[in-house]
Amino acid sequence: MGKGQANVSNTIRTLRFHAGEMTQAALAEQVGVTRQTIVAIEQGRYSPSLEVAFRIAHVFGVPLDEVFQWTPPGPDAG
Amino acid sequence: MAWVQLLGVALVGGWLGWDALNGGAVGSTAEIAQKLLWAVGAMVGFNIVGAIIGTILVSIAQREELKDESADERDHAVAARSLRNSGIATSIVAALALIPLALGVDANLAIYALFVAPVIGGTINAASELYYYRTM
Repeated sequence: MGKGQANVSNTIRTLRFHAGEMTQAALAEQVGVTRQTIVAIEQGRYSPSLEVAFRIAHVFGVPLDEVFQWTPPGPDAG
Repeated sequence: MAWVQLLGVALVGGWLGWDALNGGAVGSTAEIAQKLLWAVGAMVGFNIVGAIIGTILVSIAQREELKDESADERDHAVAARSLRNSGIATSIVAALALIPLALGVDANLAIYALFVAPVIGGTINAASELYYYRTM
């Protein structure tokens, strides 16, 4: 949980498309969060808790790392 | 409805500021305290009426009833950060208010400080919510 970080990306938009253009509202309802939270996660502004991340993966029936990808920060990141 | 809260603070704060600049800050402690109690009542009333009107207007704009969703983890995170900012602001303003009192300024200032410190805290809380909901 916390502020979104640039090195965490996700494929929720693609997964929703492959799930019959599932709406953000439908995904939010199945995950148990608000639609605004799904929007924030999808846009990379908000990194969800591990539990919500697992719930999202569960809805799509895919492993967690197929939904969220983390790129290690470069040497300049400090 | 953070916008409603900010608007209420602006209106009531503007009225109190105008009143103070026109001699309203002079008087007995009881008179000033009564005036500030009316201001608190005005803000509470404004927030209630504003929230009702805001809900109706949003429902009309969206053409469906605005339902109150239960808070999720992001809402709790935003609330926690906003409350932290609010607490810091309230503490700082309250502490700063002691300085003029220590310097011997009119004690009526303490009554205003009692009012202003939590109002500023509430304002910071509302502004923080607006900021965090747009950035996280």
